Amino acid sequence: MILGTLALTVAAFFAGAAVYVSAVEHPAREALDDRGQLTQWKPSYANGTRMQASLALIGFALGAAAWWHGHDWRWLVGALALLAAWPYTLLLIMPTNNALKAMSMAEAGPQSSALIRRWGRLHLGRTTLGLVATALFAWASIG
Amino acid sequence: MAFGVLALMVASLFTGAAIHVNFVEHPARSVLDPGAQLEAWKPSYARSAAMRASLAVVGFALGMAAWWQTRDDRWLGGALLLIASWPFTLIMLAPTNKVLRALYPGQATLESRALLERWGHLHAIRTVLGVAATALLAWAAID
Repeated sequence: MILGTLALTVAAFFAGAAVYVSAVEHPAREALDDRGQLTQWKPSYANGTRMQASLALIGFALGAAAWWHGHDWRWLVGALALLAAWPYTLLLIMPTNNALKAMSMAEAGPQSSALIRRWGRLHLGRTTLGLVATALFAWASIG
Repeated sequence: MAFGVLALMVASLFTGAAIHVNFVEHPARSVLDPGAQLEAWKPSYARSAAMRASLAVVGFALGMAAWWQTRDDRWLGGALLLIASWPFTLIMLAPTNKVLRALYPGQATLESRALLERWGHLHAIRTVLGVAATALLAWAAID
């Protein structure tokens, strides 16, 4: 089942990167001072978004195609969980992202670090969506 | 084929995190000054080593179990590529890690920056191992 196998691979790429952000990168960033946190967050966010957004779309398309072939609900729900990372980001994380992106380095301080902490909590939602999609795709692949 | 599917899932989680380090976290850390770079690298390294090493071992064990059941050598190849990140880390990365871990952020200089750059290049090889393992395991899972 080529589409399902590829959907599982892409969903697990997405989830592996998202777990890494929550468990490794974000806590390590919090060890920095306010200015360092904002300095590291900006380019990390820009590159991370590109990677996560593309993986979510590709994984969704592959999962939806696997569902189309087999009509197993697990492919559809997994695909929708991955796609949900998009509206989740646009509706819930975007205000925090925009506030952080608008800050210059000179404005780094307790307020920017509080926003970055909040961003970390919001990102956990994306990590959960990735893990749910991966688990459903693995379950559907096993049979 | 539960073992094979789970081996592919774990290898993809490993690879997604490894790719994130090369394309997102490490470049974002590189814009910091040498002291902050080192300060961000240290906790990141400690946490990511635990995540990466466990995923490599679990993926290896699952790939070996799939190979044992099917005698398809692609499972064996994928399992070995994944576990190869262990000797690679211990032999090739450990000297650089050790020097970096022994430095205090106050001692950070252009030399520690160069070491971190070298660390990034070495880590890219682990990413390649993960991608190769994932490709072999996905190929075996599709058949």
